[in-house]
Formats: sequence, C-alpha cells, structure tokens
Amino acid sequence: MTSELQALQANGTWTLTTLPTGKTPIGCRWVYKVKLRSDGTVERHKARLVAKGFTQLEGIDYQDTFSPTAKIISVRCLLALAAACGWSLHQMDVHNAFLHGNLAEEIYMSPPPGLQRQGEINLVCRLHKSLYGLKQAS
Amino acid sequence: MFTKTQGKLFIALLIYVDDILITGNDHASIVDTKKFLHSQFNLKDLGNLKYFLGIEVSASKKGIFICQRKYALEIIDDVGLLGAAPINTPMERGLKLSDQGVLLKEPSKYRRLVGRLIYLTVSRPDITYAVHVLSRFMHEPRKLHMEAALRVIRYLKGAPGQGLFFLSNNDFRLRAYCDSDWAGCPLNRRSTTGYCVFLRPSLISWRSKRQKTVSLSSVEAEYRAMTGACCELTWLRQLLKDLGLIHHKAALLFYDNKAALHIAANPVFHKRTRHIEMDCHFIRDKIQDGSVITRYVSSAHQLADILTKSLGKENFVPMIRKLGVQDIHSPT
Repeated sequence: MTSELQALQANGTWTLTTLPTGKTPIGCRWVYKVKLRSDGTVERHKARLVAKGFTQLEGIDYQDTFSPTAKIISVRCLLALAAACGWSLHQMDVHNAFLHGNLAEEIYMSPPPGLQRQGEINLVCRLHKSLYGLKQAS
Repeated sequence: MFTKTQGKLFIALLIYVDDILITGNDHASIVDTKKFLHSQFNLKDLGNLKYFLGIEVSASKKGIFICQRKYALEIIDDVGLLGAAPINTPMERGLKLSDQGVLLKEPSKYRRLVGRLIYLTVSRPDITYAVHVLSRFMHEPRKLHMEAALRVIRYLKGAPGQGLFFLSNNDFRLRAYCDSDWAGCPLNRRSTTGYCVFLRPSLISWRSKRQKTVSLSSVEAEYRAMTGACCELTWLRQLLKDLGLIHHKAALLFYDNKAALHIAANPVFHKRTRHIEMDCHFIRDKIQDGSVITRYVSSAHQLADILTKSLGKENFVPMIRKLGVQDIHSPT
C-alpha cells in the first residue's frame, strides 16, 4: 500500500487543494489482491487505489473514453511474420499504466484512507493523472 | 501498433494497454528501443515472449506455437467437467439449435461461459463455429443451448493444449478460403459467412459470421461471403505493408462456387443479381485492380467449411490439421 501511494505521488497524480464550490469529489477505495506465482505460492500482496468512476457523469466529468488495444488478428499476424523471419520476440509490461495518462478534465477526489496529515482535513485531491476506476481509464 | 523502418532495419512495437510486444530484425535496435522506453516509463522487462494476454507462446526453430492451455483448463474446471469424458468434435454434426425449450434460470452463467469461450477462439479456429452458434442465444439461453455449450467444453477436455502453429518456412503469399451456407439459421433464415486467411502456411485470420440480410439464392449468400473475405484480405495487405512486407503478388481467394465466381468476374447485369447492393461489388474492383485473384477449389478442399457448419469427426480432424491446429502437448 505504501509503495502504491509512493508511486502515485511520485507520478504527480494529484495535488491537494480545497474544493471549489459546485464541484463534487468522487470517492475512492483500496482494493487488495494476493498475487500468486504460476506454481500457486504467494508472490506479494498488492494494494491498488481505485476511484469510484461509476459516479462520474458523461459530458461533465468525462468526454470520451479510449484505450490503445491491438486487434488480436494483428497480434497473430505479427507472430506469424516473426516466425517466418526468425525475429526474436520480447515482452514488456508498464507499471501503473493508467497513471501515465493525463487528465484534461477537472476532477476532484476525496483523499484516500492512509493519506491523512494533520490540519489538512478539508482538503481534496485534484487529479492530474488518470486513476484506475475512472471513466478515463476504461 | 507502431513500426519503425530505417533502411533494412525494422522494428515493430505492439501495445495492448499496458503490455508491450517488441520484435524486429535487428537485436541491437531492439535493445535500444527498450532502453528508450525505460527512460520514459516505469517498465518491467519480461524478456522473451512467453505469455501475452493469456496466450502461451513458445518459439522454436520450426516456428512459433500459440495456445491457451491454462485458460482452457480454467474454463473446464469452472464448469466442473475436469472428470468428464472427452469427445471428438465440438458440436454434433448438422445440429441446428432452435429457440424452443426450457429457459435457463441463471442466464448469466451461460453468458459468462460463452464469453470465455469467445476469448478462447483467439488460438482455436476449431471451436469458432460452435461458439459462434452458441453466442446467437446470449439474450435468451435455454437448456439445450447450455447442453451444447457443455459439449464444447467436453471437446476442449480432449485437447486443452491445442493451438496454432506458425511455421518458419513461408512464401508470404496471402491465400483466403471462403464459404457460406444458405439460409442456415433456422430462426431468421439468414446465411453464415465463413472465411480463413493464410499467410501460407500459417493461419492468421478467420471468421464465422451470420450475414446481415436474407439472401434469395445460395449464390447470393456465397457472393456476400466472398466480399467479406475480400475486405479482410484488403485490410491484411495493408497491415502487412505496415509490417514491411509489400505484396507484389495478388492475394488468392479460393472458392467452391462457380456461379459466384462468375458474378465477381463479369460485370454483367443479371436479372437474378440486380438486387444485390452495390457495396457487394467491391470485390469486382479488387479483381480488376489486380490485388485479388479468384480461384476455384473443389468442395473437398474447401478449408472454410469448418466455419460454416458442424462436421462429423471423420471430416473434422483432418480439416483442423490442415488449418495448422496442433497439440504439442499430446503424446503423438
């Protein structure tokens, strides 16, 4: 959980501000998951902060949604070509992928549990980057 | 998907949300690309490709093999059929499912199962037709549909590790086989298109789809199927061009219906074909500009058969071998 919070902050996901009038902050929660290795033993416990994106309204909180997915036929095509030409295939995985997306809209979120500092009780998080669960991340 | 070409160097980068696949003909530039990505994002290098989007990939000198064994076993386990007797074909020969019978109490269970089977068709053309038929009943699944779905599972049980093999010797020519049944759907009398495209000898694309309109004759249905396959060929040519493979040779389209071939070849106004929408004649343009050549193939060698009807086991097994479906896990 600490590492997820650190990753979020290092990325500049949000800044703490006071809530302007007329805006509603969206909720968030932690989702915990036990990651297993392929042999079934526990690899690590993972915590992920998700925003409650279902409370967002179309046209106000988000405009359109998009994610870069490849057609499965393209994948097969590339594999067939790689096989034919003897190319080597490599694979990579982006950490905290959604946090790389920048947000165009103004979205406020209540601070996650665990991130509480004294004297800042009334502050909310203004999101700059996309977060899991937001409509922008789907 | 992104590509970079620099003289003879070629690198392709395929991105699926947060998973990245890199390939290319030069090892040093792959390493450079990785370094560049590392400097921009927080990445994990997983080394050689083994497991991508739930697809197991294994490369050898003979080629690349893909399968979804783990995923298939999960599905079998989910419905509790791990102990069931396996069966040879995914669907009874000539089976037509009707919309009569007892409604399922939990339709979501059926929907979930068929949804998972749809993803399994990524590496399994053998169950594509069966899954295609099952998915027609998603809105109102009945008991007999569930039984048919469980039969597919029992078929999977026989060879969970079956997948596609992409061979390393390749002549880089696109070949497509297409076929259609006529008014095969008992519910609304529409026909089903089936086609499969090879970058010989590897199968790269296939589809089984019920047509959108009713066809008045079998030729019309076949002609529509041909147009569908032609669209796919055009797109694949474009895709391969992006991947640095320029096709000088025309793609071959194999067909088992001579009448449909004639309609495609001769721009003659027939009484029987005048109602076919103009977009169907897209194929004529493609034949005339030389990007597609049509050839006749006898029904016995029609590989798209498996995508338009359910076959018996004596036809089914040889057919899927011709499609390049193999099981490297089986002892034989």
